[in-house]
Amino acid sequence: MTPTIEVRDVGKWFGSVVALSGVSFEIGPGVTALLGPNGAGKSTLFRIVCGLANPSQGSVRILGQDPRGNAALTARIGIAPQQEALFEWQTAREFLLLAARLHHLPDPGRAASDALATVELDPADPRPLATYSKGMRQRVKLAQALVHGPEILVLDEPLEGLDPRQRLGAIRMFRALGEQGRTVVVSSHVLDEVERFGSRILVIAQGRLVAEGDFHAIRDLMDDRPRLLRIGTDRPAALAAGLLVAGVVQGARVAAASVQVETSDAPAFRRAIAAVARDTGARLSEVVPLDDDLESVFAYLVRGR
Amino acid sequence: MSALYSTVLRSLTTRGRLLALGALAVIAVVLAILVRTGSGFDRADTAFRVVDGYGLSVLVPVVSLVFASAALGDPAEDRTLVYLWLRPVPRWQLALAASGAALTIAVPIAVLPVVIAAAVSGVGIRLVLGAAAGALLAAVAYTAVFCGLGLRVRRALAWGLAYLVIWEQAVARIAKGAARLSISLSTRTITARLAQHDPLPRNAMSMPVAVLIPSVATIVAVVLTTRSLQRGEVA
Amino acid sequence: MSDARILGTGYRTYSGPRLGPRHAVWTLTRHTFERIMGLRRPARYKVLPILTLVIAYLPAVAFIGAIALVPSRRLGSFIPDPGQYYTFVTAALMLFATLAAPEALCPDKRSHFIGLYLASPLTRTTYLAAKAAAVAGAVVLVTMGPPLLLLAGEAIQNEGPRGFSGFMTMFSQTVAAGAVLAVMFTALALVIPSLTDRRAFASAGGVLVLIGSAAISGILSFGLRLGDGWLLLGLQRLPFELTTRIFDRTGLPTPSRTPLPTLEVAATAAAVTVLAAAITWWRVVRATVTR
Repeated sequence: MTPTIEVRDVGKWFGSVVALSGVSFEIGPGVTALLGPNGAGKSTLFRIVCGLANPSQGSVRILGQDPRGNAALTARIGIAPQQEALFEWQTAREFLLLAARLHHLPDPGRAASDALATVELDPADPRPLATYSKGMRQRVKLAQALVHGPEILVLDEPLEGLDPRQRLGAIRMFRALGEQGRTVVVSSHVLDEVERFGSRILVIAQGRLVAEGDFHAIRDLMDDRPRLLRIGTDRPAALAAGLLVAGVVQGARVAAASVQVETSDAPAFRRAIAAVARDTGARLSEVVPLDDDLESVFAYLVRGR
Repeated sequence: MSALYSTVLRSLTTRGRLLALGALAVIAVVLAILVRTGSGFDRADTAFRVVDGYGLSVLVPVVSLVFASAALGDPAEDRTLVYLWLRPVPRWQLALAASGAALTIAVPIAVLPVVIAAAVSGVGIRLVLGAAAGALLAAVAYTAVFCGLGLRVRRALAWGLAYLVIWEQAVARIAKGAARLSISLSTRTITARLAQHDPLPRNAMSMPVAVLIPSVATIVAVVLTTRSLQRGEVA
Repeated sequence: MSDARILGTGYRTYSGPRLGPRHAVWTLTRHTFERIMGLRRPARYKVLPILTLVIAYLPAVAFIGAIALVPSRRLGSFIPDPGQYYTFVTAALMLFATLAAPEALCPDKRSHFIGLYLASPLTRTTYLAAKAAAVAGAVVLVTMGPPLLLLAGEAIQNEGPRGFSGFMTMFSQTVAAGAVLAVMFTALALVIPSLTDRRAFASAGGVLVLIGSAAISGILSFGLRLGDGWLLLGLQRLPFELTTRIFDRTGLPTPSRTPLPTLEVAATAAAVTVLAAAITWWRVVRATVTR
């Protein structure tokens, strides 16, 4: 199956500043999160993918076509850019109407109202966009990206400025769009919420693609990073000593009712934990991985710790 | 294209700009009234000064610059151009819509007052025709050129002022070769020849050349603006 | 006993010397001058200032070259003296002033940085004085530099004013004229930026006021023959009327061929300068500095 978005060896530099270098990936239907620290090149990559900027090298294909100078392809892409500025003198409905008309939709009024309702904004609100809060602007941006029902959605920091309830609603909407077969690419810093989009991620740091794929699988590949686990038990000291003697952990920290261990060999640990618990007479209440979450994976990849 | 045009037009019509530049337009008519009601001077020559020295040399160029450089320049600068650009609309339509919107404002604020001033001065229909032709062609050319400038260059208004002040007001009035690259001199020549005013502006060219220069400038500007929209980068 | 010590963590007040309001004014003046000239900024900010300076200095360099290469008997009156030089730089001077003044005032208002300045030892008046000094310092590069360069070039090649006293007279006149032009154009150029926070509109407004007033005054006096006095309405002309008097000349051409009275010219120039400065000061004093 042809991937929706193909990026091949894309580089982008501004004078002597390299924003992106050697980035290659493919994205298909579903939700993909693009992660990276500030200045990593996420927004630059989004602009190149949507055809708003030229790559200095490499190529981009959207649905098999070059997005540069391809006005027709823009009908199939929706972008919610990071910048806050909108057409301040317009109302939200006027802004959406403009988008709908420029997309030649048969019923622009209905499409504008539906898009605003999707993001929980009142289509009849007479106030100009200049009076809108950050969160409301964010929702207007989302609405204009959705109004024409694009196959591809590129959303740059779409959760910024939204309150927790709105964030949950947005996440549900992104997942639903992904399940409909659309290609949704989202960038965000809110890692614990990105986990709820789905598990496919692209990680960018210093202009380079550092990792891609399911983040659990990425974690498994990071065998140079010992796993951190917390084991709930009624005999933490004895269990810790037993695990150390068994050689399946490199370090242990004993707490009141638990022990936190580091292991480089997760399979060996899994095989040994039950036997060690039996031999030391310890009762196990839980075994919880502490660094299997996205934030830990991101920290290891980007910050090296 | 009408949606693009009306959006750009609305973005340009801010109260401050309209009031400030509208006041300048009123001055042209006031001067023409003084020409009509006064005595003891060459009325035809003075009326021509109002049209040429104030209207075509100051009012039309500066008004066109202010609005045309903002037509695509403001959205490019505040990064809202993406909401017009990332749509299935031919780029030439965006270029034409922006120039057209700027021209729509330049005509009532600059061109019409110059024509009205020529009519009010009461020196004859030739000056009115000359003013109309020169001012309109100047506005069309300036709006096309400065619209493209606003898209390509930061501080387009400053660069446009440099072009008007240094090139058109100074260099082109001195150097004959430079006059060929001056929208102002060509449109002033059109006005002077149609009004049969003597003397013609310094370094004036023939009528066909005078019509050709702003026309070519307009077409080239629209083509370059379209290319910039097709190939350039949008924030 | 150990010599270890804990110096404390967290916020500590500054306990070094405080240089006071004069230093603050000088710092702001210097910083604003650098900003106007594009110094310590990317190359694109230097283009317009340098271009304008080149246009202002180029005639002087050309004339000095002509003096060096062409026998003086063939030059005749081709080479202007410093007093006549300003006709070559009028456009550059006007453009420079109307670009420099908005660069000095508008960004502070737009970014709301003016509040930070006023939280320092600067008052609104000293803030404005520093800004005006920076603009004037930049404009002086155009009003004084090129004619002084021409004078120096002439003197080195034994052309120009005769004798030491002649040279000193011309030198003093050039400095005085350059200073007068700098003060007047600075005052006029700062008015529009005090009314808006958009640099581009301020520049366009400044150019419009200068060129427009010149066109209108020309129409009123040369065209409508309403009297030579209307020429004083031309804000672009007025400073140069004053400088011709400094060089002991009678003044610029008038419809009646009679020079404008020097007293009227001086009084009008002073009144316009004071009024422009007053308007700018009033706007800065009344400006709201917090959201």
